[in-house]
Amino acid sequence: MSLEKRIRDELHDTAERLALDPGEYRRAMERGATRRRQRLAMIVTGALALGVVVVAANAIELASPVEPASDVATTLGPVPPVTSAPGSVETTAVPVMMADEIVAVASIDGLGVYSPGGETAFLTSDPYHQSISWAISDGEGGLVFTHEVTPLPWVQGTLMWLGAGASMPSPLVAPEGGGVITPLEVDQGSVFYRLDDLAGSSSIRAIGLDGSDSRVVVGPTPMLGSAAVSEGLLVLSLGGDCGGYALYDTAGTALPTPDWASECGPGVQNDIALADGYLFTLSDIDSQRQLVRIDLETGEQASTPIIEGWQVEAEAASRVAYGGNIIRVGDFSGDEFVETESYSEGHGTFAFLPSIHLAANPRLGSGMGELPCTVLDVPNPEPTGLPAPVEEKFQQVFTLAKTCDLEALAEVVREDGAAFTYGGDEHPVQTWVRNARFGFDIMPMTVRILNTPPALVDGIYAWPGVFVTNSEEDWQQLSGILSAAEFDLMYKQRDDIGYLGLRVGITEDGRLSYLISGD
Amino acid sequence: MAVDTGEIPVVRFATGSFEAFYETNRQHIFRALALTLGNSDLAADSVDEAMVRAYQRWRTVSTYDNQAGWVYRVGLNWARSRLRKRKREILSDQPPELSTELTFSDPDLERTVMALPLEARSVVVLRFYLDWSTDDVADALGIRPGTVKSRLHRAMNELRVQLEGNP
Repeated sequence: MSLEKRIRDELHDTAERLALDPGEYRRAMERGATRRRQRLAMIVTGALALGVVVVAANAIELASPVEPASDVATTLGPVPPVTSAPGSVETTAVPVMMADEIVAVASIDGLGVYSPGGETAFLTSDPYHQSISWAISDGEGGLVFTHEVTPLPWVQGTLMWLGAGASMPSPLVAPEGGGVITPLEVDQGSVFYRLDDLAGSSSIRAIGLDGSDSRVVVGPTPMLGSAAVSEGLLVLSLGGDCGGYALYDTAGTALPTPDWASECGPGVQNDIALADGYLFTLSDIDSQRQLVRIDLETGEQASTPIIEGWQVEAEAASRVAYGGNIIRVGDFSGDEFVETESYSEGHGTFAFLPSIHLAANPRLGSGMGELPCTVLDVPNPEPTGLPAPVEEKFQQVFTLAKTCDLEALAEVVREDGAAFTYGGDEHPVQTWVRNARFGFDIMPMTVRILNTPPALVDGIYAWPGVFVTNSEEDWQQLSGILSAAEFDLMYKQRDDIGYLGLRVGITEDGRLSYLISGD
Repeated sequence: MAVDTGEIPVVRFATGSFEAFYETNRQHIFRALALTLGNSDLAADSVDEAMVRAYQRWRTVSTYDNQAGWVYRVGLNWARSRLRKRKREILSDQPPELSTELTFSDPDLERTVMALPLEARSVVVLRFYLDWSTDDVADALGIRPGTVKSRLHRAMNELRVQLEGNP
């Protein structure tokens, strides 16, 4: 039995055992209709109460476009920065209260960064910065984050660091045995993170931003709720019937538990944050969910209401609240100053306040970074029988490909109007780099493809010839070029779809017609 | 694209009522989500949430080519968001377990399929359970057909290595 049939049969058999309680479509309709009304009411109420200007746009206007890092600019020249604004974004600009602060929204779409007032908002989205599940500031204009789906070649859940001015993240540590890493804080040059392993155990660990000094700060801790680190202090919230807080220094030494932290209660059910000598958490006070601020020295408490059901982050005495797809930011007095509406249906968001000053670190973002291209030190072939214009273009493309001169090759593509992607309007280098980052290094593959015999069809010389001929002989030319798995997959489908791998086409008059793969 | 006439009667191109769409698709999308997530309870919540959102925007969603794909994607994203938030909440003593009805008859296959990254598993499920074409899977997941192919290719390679010892 083929593997595909084995999988198909098993999925169908298993699915047959899955029974869903009968649904009531009317209930779904009622809930949907209610939400429509609530959404409309919220928009109207919000606009009236705040007297705001709602800036609605399908793409955020970048009043201060993000400049690519200097190394990137040097390397890539005219390549546009990879910034995109997916979907519909609405930012609500209200009086600026914290001019230097911005709010960042990590989501599976990428990273959105909103300034107060919205005038310098931008979104980043490229293969390295999509699908972000968690992010914190590194305190110096960069970010430490994890992906929902970690791009290859890194292990799923790897903790990444995007330093200020960098355009490509560096891996810091991968979860052992498939656990989940959640970054907590960067303190004194170390990233503190929580590791939840698959056995259900949670511990607090740390690693230097340079990858050194990896250590366990607090070992496996049952019922670990949340954790926060700031200025040498680590606070854990503990669940269970008699929870509370446990305090450590960042070397992992347990500290005396102050009175406010040791009260036996129903356990701490929510996130905690440390900032400015305070511990922030959520609590139900007078039957209302409130953001509570506890003075770490005196234990004095203050509270402010939040919106029921929202998640809250607290940092630098301000707060970020998010619920549904709405983000609000304000200071502790309760006045809100930024509100965003999520830009994509059904996508969750995670908001935080990074200590990033755009003016000081304008290059946070997602330029192309180092070029992941393999230079090949091979001689140019001397094909026979090609018309002179074809031979000339062949040699030009071969040389540019083997030397990874992407910019020059992109110029050839653009001048000749060659097809290089089915994916829309983007710079050729973007296409090649993106593919290379995901393991498809097009340039050396181009070199290898150009070393196979071409075939002529419709006035175009095509490499490899099998693209045109689909002959057994030409297929065998690819056996040492493609990986065994790639070859097998394509070969099995040769009668149905033929060869759809990377191919190069040059017209008889010497114009590059295509350098493309796929269909 | 053509209407899927396979054994899974998912109507992806219905232009009619929400009721008809709901009745025809809810169960199958739930099953696809359960197989993807490895959690039937979460899948049940996800499909119901996605259906509510579908009705909320039915005027728009009903014009989509692949309405079921939209609901699947919204459900999957909602589940991911839920899982992420769950990480932020207090942990119970017991780690979540696979629902018993999700246990494969082939334990090796179960282990290897469930070990695939979520993105790969979703492609495998849509391709082999719902029998959707590459284009339909791409449309449902909001990715390019080439990405679907590469994800499927990698997933199958991984499964072959794990199950048969060769790529």
